[in-house]
Amino acid sequence: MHGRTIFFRRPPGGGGTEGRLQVGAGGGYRGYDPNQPRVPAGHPDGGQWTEKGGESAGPTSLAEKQRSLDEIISDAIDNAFVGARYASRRPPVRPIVINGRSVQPTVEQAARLGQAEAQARDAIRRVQEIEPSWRPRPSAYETVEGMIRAHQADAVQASERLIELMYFTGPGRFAAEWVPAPAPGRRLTQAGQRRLNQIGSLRGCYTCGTFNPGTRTGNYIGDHQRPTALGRPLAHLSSVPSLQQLSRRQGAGALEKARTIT
Amino acid sequence: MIHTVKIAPPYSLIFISDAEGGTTPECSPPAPYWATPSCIAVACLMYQDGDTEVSLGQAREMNLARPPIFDGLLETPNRKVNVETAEGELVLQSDVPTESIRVRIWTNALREPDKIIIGLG
Repeated sequence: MHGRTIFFRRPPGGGGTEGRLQVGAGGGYRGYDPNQPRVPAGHPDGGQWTEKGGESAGPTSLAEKQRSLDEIISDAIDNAFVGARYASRRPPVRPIVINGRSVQPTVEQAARLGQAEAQARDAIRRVQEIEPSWRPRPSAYETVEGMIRAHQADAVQASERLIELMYFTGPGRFAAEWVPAPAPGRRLTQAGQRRLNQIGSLRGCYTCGTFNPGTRTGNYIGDHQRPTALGRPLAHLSSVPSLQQLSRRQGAGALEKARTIT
Repeated sequence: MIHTVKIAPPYSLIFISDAEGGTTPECSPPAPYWATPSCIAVACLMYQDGDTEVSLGQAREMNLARPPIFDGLLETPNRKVNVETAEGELVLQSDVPTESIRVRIWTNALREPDKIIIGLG
């Protein structure tokens, strides 16, 4: 059975570059003494190696400190690195104000609250990139748990709105080229359809980027950027290549909206 | 009496429901039809590829030997059945005697049919 070598790195500016320890076949380290004493707990250098058999509480000279660091690294767990400062105690959880009242969350609640808040903020930001004026419906809460649920609800609302925006309005993230939309009740001309198919075969569906239009003829569907049922000026509409399935999903949503308007 | 129209409905869909509308089904995943108790959506020929012939009438008048693709009950609280497009345009309408009516639908293809027959009762 062969031994293995563990490489270690000196801290920046510490002189030298790196060293190594030979691990013996029996698993022991050459140059490492498991019986070497450490600085007792409670001391600022607590836990560090100290002089073998000495009385000192820790290394005093720079050279000694350097050696001590190297020794620590050579003996360290895989993820340890020089220069890291590990928290000796967890920072206190700050109280939060709900309805003018200071409430002290538990550590676990504070973690969940932070996570829910970040998720909501991220989801809202993504919606507002498309629709800057969008805001989630305000919610009322009196407890930390209520506040967490409110943030989670905001994130859900934002996600739903994002899906709605992606599928029912807007040019879609793959939209790059388009052809003029035909007049109401008219279809694309053959030339328009050919151009639409060209765009589709080059760039795929304007929403999802897929290249199979899913139609019997292989024709891409010219999807208006806004459903015509919403009464937008048709002169501003353009047809972008879309898929049969996305078009039908839009159709169900368009009927709902048409019924709401009428 | 059977009424027939030829249309190229936007989004390649027609919707069958009560005159006051119904709960629109989510038209996904791909299928010949999608239904809720108050609304049936039927896939048509892609509107840019041509017209779809849609017929509405009493089922006994249809006299079709093959089985329908859809056979179920539709809520009709206003005793009227509407066939409309995704943009809310009324295409066909029929009176029905009850607040719930059996609807059977035949098509000439499961995918993008250009003939759809809707039989009531």
